[in-house]
Amino acid sequence: MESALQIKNVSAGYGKIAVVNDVSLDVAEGSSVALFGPNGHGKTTLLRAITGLGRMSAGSVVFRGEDITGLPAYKIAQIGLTHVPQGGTLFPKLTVSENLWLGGRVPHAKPHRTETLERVETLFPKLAQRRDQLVGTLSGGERQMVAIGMGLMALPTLLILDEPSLGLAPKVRGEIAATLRDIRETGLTLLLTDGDIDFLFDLSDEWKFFEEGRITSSGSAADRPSHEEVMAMYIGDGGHVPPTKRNGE
Amino acid sequence: MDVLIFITMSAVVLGSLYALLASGLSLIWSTLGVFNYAHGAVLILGAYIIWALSVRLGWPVIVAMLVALPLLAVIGVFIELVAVRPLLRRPNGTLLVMVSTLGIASAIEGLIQIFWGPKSRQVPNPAPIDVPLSGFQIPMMVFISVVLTFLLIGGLHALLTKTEWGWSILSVEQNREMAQLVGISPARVYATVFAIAAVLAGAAAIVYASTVAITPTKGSGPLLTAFVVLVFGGTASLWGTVLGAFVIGALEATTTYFFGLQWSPIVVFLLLVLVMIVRPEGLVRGRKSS
Repeated sequence: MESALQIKNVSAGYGKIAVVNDVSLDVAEGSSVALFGPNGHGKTTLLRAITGLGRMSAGSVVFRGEDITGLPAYKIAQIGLTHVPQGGTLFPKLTVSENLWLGGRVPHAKPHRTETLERVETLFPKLAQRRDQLVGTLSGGERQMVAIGMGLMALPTLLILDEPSLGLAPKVRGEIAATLRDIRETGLTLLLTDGDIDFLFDLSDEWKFFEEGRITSSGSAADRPSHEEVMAMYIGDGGHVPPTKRNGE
Repeated sequence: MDVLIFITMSAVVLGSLYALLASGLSLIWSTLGVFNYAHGAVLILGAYIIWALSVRLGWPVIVAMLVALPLLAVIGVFIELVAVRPLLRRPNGTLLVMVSTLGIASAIEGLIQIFWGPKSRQVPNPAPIDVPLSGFQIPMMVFISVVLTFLLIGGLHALLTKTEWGWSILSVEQNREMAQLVGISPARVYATVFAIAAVLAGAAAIVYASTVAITPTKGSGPLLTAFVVLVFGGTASLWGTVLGAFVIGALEATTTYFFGLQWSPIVVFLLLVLVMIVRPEGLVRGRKSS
């Protein structure tokens, strides 16, 4: 399979402290890759470095054959690599529809905005009801819907979702998972992180375990770690994970 | 009655001047989080450009004004490029931009002095007629000032809230990172904002030059008052700024009439202190959101 995103030996961090250490990762066209691991170990830093929000100190990123290393974030957004950051951070003093509309302003999505907006409002009927409401007055779940909706408005080739289920009630989480599953059917390539392992595994066909700034084990849907194994991975006792799944050790 | 008319006229002109000047400052402040201390110098430069084109080159004053505005837009972008962009994202950026824009202000004043001398100059009145209004003769410029102010600020408000172009400016103001993620270049928005502010300062120059003779340093007085207007009206909405501008204009006009010009800054700054104590968020609060 053709790869949509190739991350080679990327290191990134804040100032001189490297939070992400020599990470390589390949996202095949049409696949969905899940990144999980303990919080504060650099997942978000890695994603931010990929899409230009953060700086990388070493390595390269190639998106569909194009070297995008060091490009400014707004240029990366314009070529179809869309990043929905953590925490549903949006434009709080603009309305839901204004936020969504801005989400689709990148050149390739612009001509199709009206149809895409309809599709997004079908996927999230709540957003249609809240159309003229300021985003800052929405609940966390609704804001997350707007954030994902904005990502979809950009008609991305590859969508990066950072913790899409963070802070959501289980019911809303289920709704968002269902929506994302539908979107997956359309062949959209995904790279996502989430603290909810079931949510994450449900939406992905490949997984990477990320700790202390590097990917320490990975696998496909077929060899997903069980809950107990995941627990062990988080605690740092790798003993329960079959050695075949471990990288570089 | 004469007194009331006189004060009202003066208040309207001053209010227009401050509204035009402060709305540009406010736009820059809310988008970039810095103050442009060169804004008063841009105002006075605008007045000098109009003066030079109309008096020195003999162009009709209206044409001079229409040429001055786009020229000022370019100067606004230039200020952003040299004094703001390289410094804004540094640690201490706000302080650095303060110093650099103050530097630009001095440079502009110096250049005006070199080119056109320190003497005071009078920009010709573009509409030297009086309009009779219930027994009084009101200078046409009073009406022009207020119409210009509401057209420009109303137009800016409509652009910001009704067009996608405006949303992209507001988006950078509200969430710079997210704006980048939807493909908006903050740098381009910053330059645009400086251009808009400079054009508004140019319109302010038209109003200002109709009331006083200009000298190279005459921009600092209105700038200082415009800062008071920002605190007074709040930066949350353009209409708050406009309201604040006209309240301050009325206050200055009244004080000047009854106590003399030297008292007006004292009263204005006393009011500033009072407002900061009683209502630090300004007269008008913005669109509410959590």
